[in-house]
Amino acid sequence: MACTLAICTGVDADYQGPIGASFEIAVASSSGTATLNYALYAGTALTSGPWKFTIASGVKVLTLVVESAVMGDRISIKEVTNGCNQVLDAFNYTPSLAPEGLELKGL
Amino acid sequence: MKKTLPFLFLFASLVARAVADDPSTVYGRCHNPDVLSVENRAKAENLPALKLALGVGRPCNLPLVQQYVLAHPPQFSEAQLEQMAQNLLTYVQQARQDKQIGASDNSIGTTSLVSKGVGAIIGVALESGSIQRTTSGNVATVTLNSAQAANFLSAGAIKPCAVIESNCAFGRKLLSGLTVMTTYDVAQANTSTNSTASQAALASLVGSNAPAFTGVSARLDFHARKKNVQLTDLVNTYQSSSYLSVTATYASAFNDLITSVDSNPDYQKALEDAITDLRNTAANDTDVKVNQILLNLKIAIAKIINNNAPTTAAFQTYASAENAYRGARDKALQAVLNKWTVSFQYDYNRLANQPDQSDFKAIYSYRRDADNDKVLQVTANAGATIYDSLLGSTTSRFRSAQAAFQLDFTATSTASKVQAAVSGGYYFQYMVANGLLTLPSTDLAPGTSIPLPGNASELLNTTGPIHIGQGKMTLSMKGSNFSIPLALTFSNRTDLIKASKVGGNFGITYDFSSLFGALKK
Repeated sequence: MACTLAICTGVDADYQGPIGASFEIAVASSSGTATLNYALYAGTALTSGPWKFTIASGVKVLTLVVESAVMGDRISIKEVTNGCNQVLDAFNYTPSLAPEGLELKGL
Repeated sequence: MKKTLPFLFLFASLVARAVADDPSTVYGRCHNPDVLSVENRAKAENLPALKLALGVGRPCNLPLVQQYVLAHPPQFSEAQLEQMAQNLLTYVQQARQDKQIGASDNSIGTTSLVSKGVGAIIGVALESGSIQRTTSGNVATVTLNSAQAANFLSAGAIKPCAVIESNCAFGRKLLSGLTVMTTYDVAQANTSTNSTASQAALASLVGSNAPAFTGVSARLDFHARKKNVQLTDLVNTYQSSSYLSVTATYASAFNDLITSVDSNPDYQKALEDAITDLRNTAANDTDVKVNQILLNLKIAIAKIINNNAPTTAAFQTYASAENAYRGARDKALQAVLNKWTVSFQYDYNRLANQPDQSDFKAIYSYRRDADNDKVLQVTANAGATIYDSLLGSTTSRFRSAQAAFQLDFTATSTASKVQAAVSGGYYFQYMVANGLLTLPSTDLAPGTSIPLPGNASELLNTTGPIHIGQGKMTLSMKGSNFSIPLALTFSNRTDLIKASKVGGNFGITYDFSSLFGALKK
């Protein structure tokens, strides 16, 4: 199944997709204790799953507050729209990290 | 205050560099370091991955920019400083029953039968009535956790160790565990009920001439992490309204900051230049050259933050919200991760007309989530007291040994507007040595009217056991960060008088915002 978000070729955004299309986010981690606690995109805030949003026009930041109970846990931010599986970003967890901020461009 | 703050910020930024973790971390390298290798950085297909790694929105990139900005401090306004200070207060968690905000049990003004398992972060308490002392008083206790003080003074550059941080640097770990409390006698009050005229005279003597500064304490807290944390426990913890409300502010502040930086043409150009420079590096270029390009990008972003008023404001709001978020997260995680705490505390006590005394105490604290958000807290103390000086007396320097046990139960749900905790405790003290009094001397230095120092006088027959029981209720308003402890205490005797005592102890504890506001006036 094809994902909604595609890599953006310009420097103005990280990913892009058609305006009005929906996409779903999930997190996974090597320890299994990573949790996505809060997501904010284009004025829509979610505190629990399913983490679904609709692509807005222009460049908007998708903010994800992710936590883990294990230091150094390898966390993957994924798009799982309609069962697709695309890793958008990955990083090693420490409690001093900022939220994930992916710039998404609506086309 | 205005003149002191810049100096303190400068000093703190220097300390921040000294205690910062992992100074070798390089901007852009922490997500996907492979993309910066010689083989990968020039490949066209890796361009998106390269751009993604360098974005300011990556979780490990922004903290590095933030560290740079704080080491080259922007001008915080007084209002922003106050906001940051107030956000630190979210660390003061009123729902927790294992915090020691007021004076210890050995103070002349206290509501605490035991010393609690976690030093308060920043707190002020006013308490009245002693527990095991003959003398009662009204005592103000100022409590300060050193890591929170360093965090505030460094405008967030020195962060306390997070609850889950297992590899916290030694300096930050020490700062996080160290709490200092000072107590002041704000007004001498009543003494205990006295059974004889001589005891009344004695109480009258020790109940007068109290010094304003009555003691200082230092304590180190050690937490034990629970193993095998269940994911469902974490998810439930992160669904609490207290955590989510702070998280919403934090996420919004982050979103605004990244949007502000990202929409700046200078950022787009700096990012594009960095990518071009990286792709133009030759195979024989070393990591030093690559790191210099990454450093230049980090500095360019820091300058964008510092030189554009709206972005500066967004950064300051974010830094402030981040402090609050870390506090809320620690609070949420402590309930899951920190089941028990061991602390060691030293108290130096100045008492009216008595030699100075030192207490050494070990504190054990365990919390159990009894029913969803209702918490059962168990605290046990063991300690010993010595006379700092015998003033010529032949009595033992080892004054007494103590043991205490207390149960606290959060009686109301955390959703309730009025929070109430009920406590019951037992305290045992064995007086190994007789009590010592510093009686006023009537001798004068030869040929002068200068009085010679007072001599110690030993109170006979004050050794033996002291048994104390206490029932207590602590009331607080949700979100107000102040609480009112009310206690009723029964004892078979006090430290100097062998007469039973039934007394009330009450107090008010304030949060730091009240103090900060008062200082600013």
